[in-house]
Amino acid sequence: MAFSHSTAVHLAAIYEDCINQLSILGKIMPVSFQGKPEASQLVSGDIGTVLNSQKMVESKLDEALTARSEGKGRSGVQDLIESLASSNRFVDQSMRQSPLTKDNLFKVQEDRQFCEDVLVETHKELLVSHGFSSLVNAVDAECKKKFDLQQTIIKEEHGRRKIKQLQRQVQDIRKEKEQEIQQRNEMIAHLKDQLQEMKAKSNMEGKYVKKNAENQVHQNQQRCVLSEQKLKEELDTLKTTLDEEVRTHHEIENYLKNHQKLLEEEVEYWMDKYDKDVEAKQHELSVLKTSKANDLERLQELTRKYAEYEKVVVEDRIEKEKERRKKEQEELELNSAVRLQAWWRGTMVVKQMGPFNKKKKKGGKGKKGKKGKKKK
Amino acid sequence: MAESSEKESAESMLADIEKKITEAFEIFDHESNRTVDVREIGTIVRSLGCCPSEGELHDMLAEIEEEEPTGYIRFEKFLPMMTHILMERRYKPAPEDQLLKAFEVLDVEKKGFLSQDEITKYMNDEGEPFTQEEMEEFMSAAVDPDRGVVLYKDYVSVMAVEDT
Repeated sequence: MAFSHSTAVHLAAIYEDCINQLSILGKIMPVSFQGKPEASQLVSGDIGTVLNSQKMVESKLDEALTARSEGKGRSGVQDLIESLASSNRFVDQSMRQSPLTKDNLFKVQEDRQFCEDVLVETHKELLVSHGFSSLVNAVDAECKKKFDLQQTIIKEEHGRRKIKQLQRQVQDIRKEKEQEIQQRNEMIAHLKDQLQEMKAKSNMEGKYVKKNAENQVHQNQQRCVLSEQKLKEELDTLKTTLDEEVRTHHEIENYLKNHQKLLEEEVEYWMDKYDKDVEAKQHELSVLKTSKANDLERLQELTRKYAEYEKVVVEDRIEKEKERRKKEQEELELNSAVRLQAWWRGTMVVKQMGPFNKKKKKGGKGKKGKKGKKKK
Repeated sequence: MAESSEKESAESMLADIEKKITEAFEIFDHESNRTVDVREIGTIVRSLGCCPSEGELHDMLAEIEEEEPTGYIRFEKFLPMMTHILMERRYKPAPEDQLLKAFEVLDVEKKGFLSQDEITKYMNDEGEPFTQEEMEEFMSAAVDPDRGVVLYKDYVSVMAVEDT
């Protein structure tokens, strides 16, 4: 890209003018405003404008509020509130960054120097090659620098955040570990206590076991001695009893032999007696059998006789019974006849029949006379 | 009140009975000297509604006869005895069932009737003496004219009905 020669000359003139002005500005700019009389005036002017704008916004808000109470829209109020907030922020910033600090002026100086350098460079190029690529390059480089700076700032922020996090983590871990250590310490103390206790215990136990063993040994010995004595005594008694037994055995043997002899004799005697008795009993039995036969015969005869007699008696009884019945019957008949006769006689009299008929009264009388005679 | 009325009725009954006895006695007191023939006593007693047998009658006579048998009975003796009998209702005529029983006893074979021969035999041979006249009267009243036997069941019931 290149301008024509004339244009380049025009532009170079403008650039030269600008460069001159910048260098003049650099020469006249003080290092700092501080300690100078117009400084406070500058600052107060600044602050005054800011406060004025603030007041204006507030009054507007009041107006809006009154308007709203009369039924106007709300969007105006919203806008006012926003502008009030931004102006507040602006006031804060301007209060903090006083334009009077030294750093600020340094920076302005530096920036001016840089601008001047770039412009000088561009001016030279215009003069030499009728172009302004160095200006473009400088702008590009500046842009790149700015981008890098921003990147670095972002990275730094990230780094800072991470550091905070890590520090927090470290703190947490430390707390944890401290707690753990405390616990461990406690544990150690506890275990030490236990160890001490155990030692004391085992000591005591050892003593006890030792004593116990000694006592047991002693006891066993005593017991052994006692049992030995007992066994010895037993042995003695057994010996004496053995002697006794041997003697008694002999005695008993003798006695039994004698007894056996006696018994053999008795057996013989009883055998004899058995034979004799059996014979006698046999004889008796035969005698009894004959007598039994005789008795049986007699019994049969008697039975026969008894049956005969019984028959006779029964017949007699039956006959008597018959007679009695006959008599009864006769008596009954007699009574019946008497009753009938009595009834008939009564009936005849009452009904005036036969001899009592009034017509035949005399005849009746005659008959009655007859009857009376009979009775008498 | 009840007691006295009862007494009254008893007294009136007694008077009634005595009156009846007196009436019956007077019929046979032919000589009007308050005595009757011994032989008439049975008729008097029977006319008063009693049915004693001859034996019982004989006992009664033995009770009221004079110590020296005169053949006559005095009213003074007869009245108390008869009153007594009537008050006690002794010798009442046998009721139907008893008569029936008596006939059944005589009917040995239980055939439900008695032939004339049987009746005659029992009345003459058994019991007290029965006169020929009494016998005849009895037969004429009791024998069934169609069959010539005594159908005693019918006869007894007929007689009982007549009684009442």
